[in-house]
Amino acid sequence: MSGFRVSQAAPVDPRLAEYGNTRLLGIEIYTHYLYPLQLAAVLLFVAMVAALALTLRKRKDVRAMDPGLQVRVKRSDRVRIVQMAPEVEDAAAPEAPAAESSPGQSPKGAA
Amino acid sequence: MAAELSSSTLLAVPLAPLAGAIIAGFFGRYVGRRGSHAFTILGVLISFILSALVLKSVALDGARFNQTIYEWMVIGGLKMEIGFMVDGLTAMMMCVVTFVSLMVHLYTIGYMEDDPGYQRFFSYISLFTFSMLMLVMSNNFLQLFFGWEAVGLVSYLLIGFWFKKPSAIFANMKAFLVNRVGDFGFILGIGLVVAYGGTLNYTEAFAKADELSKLTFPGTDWMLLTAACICLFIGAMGKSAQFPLHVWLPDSMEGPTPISALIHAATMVTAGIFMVARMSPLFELSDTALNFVMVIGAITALFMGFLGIIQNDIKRVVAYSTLSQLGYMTVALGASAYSVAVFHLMTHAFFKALLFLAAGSVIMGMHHDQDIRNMGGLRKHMPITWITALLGSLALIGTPLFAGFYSKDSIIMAVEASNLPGTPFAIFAVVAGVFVTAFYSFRMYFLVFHGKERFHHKPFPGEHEHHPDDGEDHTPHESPWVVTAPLVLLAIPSVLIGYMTIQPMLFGEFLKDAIVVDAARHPAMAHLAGEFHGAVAMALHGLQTLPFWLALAGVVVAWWFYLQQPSIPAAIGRALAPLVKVLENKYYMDAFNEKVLAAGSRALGTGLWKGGDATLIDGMIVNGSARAVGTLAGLTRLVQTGHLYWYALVMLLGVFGFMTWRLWPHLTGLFGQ
Amino acid sequence: MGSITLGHVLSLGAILFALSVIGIFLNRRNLIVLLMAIELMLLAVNLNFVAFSHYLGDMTGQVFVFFILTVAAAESAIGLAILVVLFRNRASINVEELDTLKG
Repeated sequence: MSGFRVSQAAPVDPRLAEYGNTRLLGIEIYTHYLYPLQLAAVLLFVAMVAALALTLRKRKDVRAMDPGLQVRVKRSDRVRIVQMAPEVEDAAAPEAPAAESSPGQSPKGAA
Repeated sequence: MAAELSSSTLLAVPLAPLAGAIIAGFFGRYVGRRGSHAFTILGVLISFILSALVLKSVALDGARFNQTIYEWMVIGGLKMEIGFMVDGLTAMMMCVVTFVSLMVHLYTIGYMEDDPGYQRFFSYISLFTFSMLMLVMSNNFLQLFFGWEAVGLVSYLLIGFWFKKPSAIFANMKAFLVNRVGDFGFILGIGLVVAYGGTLNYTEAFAKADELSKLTFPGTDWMLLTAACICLFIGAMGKSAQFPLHVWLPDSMEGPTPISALIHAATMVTAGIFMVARMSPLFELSDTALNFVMVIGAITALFMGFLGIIQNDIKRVVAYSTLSQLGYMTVALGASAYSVAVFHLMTHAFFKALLFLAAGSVIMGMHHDQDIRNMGGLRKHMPITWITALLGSLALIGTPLFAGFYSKDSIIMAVEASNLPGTPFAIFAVVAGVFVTAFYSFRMYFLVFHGKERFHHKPFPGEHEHHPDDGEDHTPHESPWVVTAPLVLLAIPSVLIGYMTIQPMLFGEFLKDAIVVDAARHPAMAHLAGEFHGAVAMALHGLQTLPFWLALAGVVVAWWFYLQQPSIPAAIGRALAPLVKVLENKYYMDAFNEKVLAAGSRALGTGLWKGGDATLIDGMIVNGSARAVGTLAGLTRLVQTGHLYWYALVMLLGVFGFMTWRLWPHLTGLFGQ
Repeated sequence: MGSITLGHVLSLGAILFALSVIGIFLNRRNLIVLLMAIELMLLAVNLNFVAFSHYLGDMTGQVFVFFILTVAAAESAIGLAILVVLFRNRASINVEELDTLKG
């Protein structure tokens, strides 16, 4: 290859005077190099996500719920059926059946 | 007998003793003592009978056998086989080995009666018989080497039979290691033959001998066959205890007497002689090797005889006698009189085994005291032992008509007819050796069987086990029949076999195809054949020759010194004290071996261990590389500072450097104007 | 005195860049200064782009600056978020204390 003419001044480009450098650059990017431009955008996006993923710390006092956990709850985690003898109406001791049946009730699931 | 030998007969010859060895060795506890000796003796007896039949076929019917029984491996083109070659030489060796082995087996029943290792002993001597038979019946170098090593192993086991004695363990290690030195040369020799001949089989290798004789050893202008034959002979030097590898044989007397008779007189030590005779086609082509053989044999024959003069242990006298006689056989080999050497091997086997067994009988009678200075006058108390020992000694010194005369005189005549450079020395050695042999043999004979009885008040109580002087009568008595019967049976061939077999063995057809002699260059055998006019004539002629008078002189001098005037040897000993000291220290060879060679090897080993292994390999290479890695990691670690900006800077500098490196050529032209 | 040439602008960009690099590793105390220095680096690069865009007459350079700025912003945001979390955990923004990766 022939040597670069490093000692000469820059040749004057007529297009430069006519359109200006920015415009020329824009024409190139948005026509010939559109796909690389989009890829560059994706790259920036990924970089942003990566930076966040590395450095994000959670607040310890947030009371928000994790929707994922909420959705994953099953009935069998919350309800348990227990066999019990039927309550019999008794004239001698009317409060006793009420006290017996309370242990059979499961507490409602909390968050 | 048919003129053909069957391979199953031949297979039975070594395998019967092996079966006996296995039974006595592994099942000794179940069959008991009687069972052990019964099975092993049965095995060796079968072997002997079959060997005798084979000998008959070979000698009378001209039967020969040379086949491979089993080919167990082929590497490249090299075949490794088990095979048998049976000709006159082999048949003779088979008979000698099995006969002496049978005698020793029988003798052991009496000798080792009280020993706790009874079954083990029989197992070992039968195993030895198997190994020796495989050696002599082999038709290829590999089986020869197998037998060679196996007899060395069994010899080690038997010398150290009483393994709780430190001297026995020292002796068996010494025997094995010295043998190993010889085996090293042996395997080099076999290697040379195989490398240039391309085959392990005898027949094929010998067929190539002529073309091999034209080759030279690479890098020198020595004949290849000279190098190969000398290497093979080094093996024989180890096994047959030639100077300087003879040092193990006197120490091997630590083993029980039966094995001294079997292994270190008759059979194992003769393996080297047998091997050289078997390799005669190769040795004939190299005068240098033959000269070497002859000189070594001459040195052994003479100088070992000198050592026999001053020994006081009855077994050691016979041991040095064996060394000296092996030297005689070697000299005969050097003179290209292979059949004479083998003939002497056979006669020597008989009378030396007899002498050893007689010595053992004496030791038994003396309650295991082996010092001849404590004996004397035993002829009245142990008559059979006395007569057989006398016959053996007469055979040894070369009394005409006895077996030793024929073989020894033939050796002397063959050496005189030789034309090698070492002949004058060899002649001197073998002739002087006759006097020396007679002198020490009859010194021992007179001191043991004649003269005053010294065993009542032993003037030289030694470290050998003996009963304290408790007033009991320690008069020796004759040994049981299992001990004396072998003595008698061995005495018979000691007297007769020379007379009977000299003609067919040396001058007949018996060994013709086993041994090759280049008659033009080595005229010894031809000369002997010309001089031979029959056994009786030879005996009569022998009465007029120098060796006979030297032997007679030796006997007379021994009689005079030790029976008539015992003060004379003492006076001579004092006058020649330095000489006696050299002899007592066995020419300082043991001291040299222990202090220079053995200690030197150990020092080399220690040095290599401490310097090479511990310092170099463990310290520098193994631990050092670990430490280097650690240090480097420690330095490199400092780059990781842990600070992010540092990492960022390093990345930046890296990118900067990389881009500079890659873009440098372009950068220089970049800023044009 | 000549007009402003390409070389001048490029030099300026280079100097800015070098200053910010020095700032990165000379700074031993403050993490925020580190983030600022990184922003300055990006800015120096932007200056280069704009210079070439002007001297070559091509708008593409300036479009690219647009996107660089976007990225710089994103990166700044996240950097500062990390800084906040770091401070919550360690109560300090001293760069020299962040050396647990030390070998």
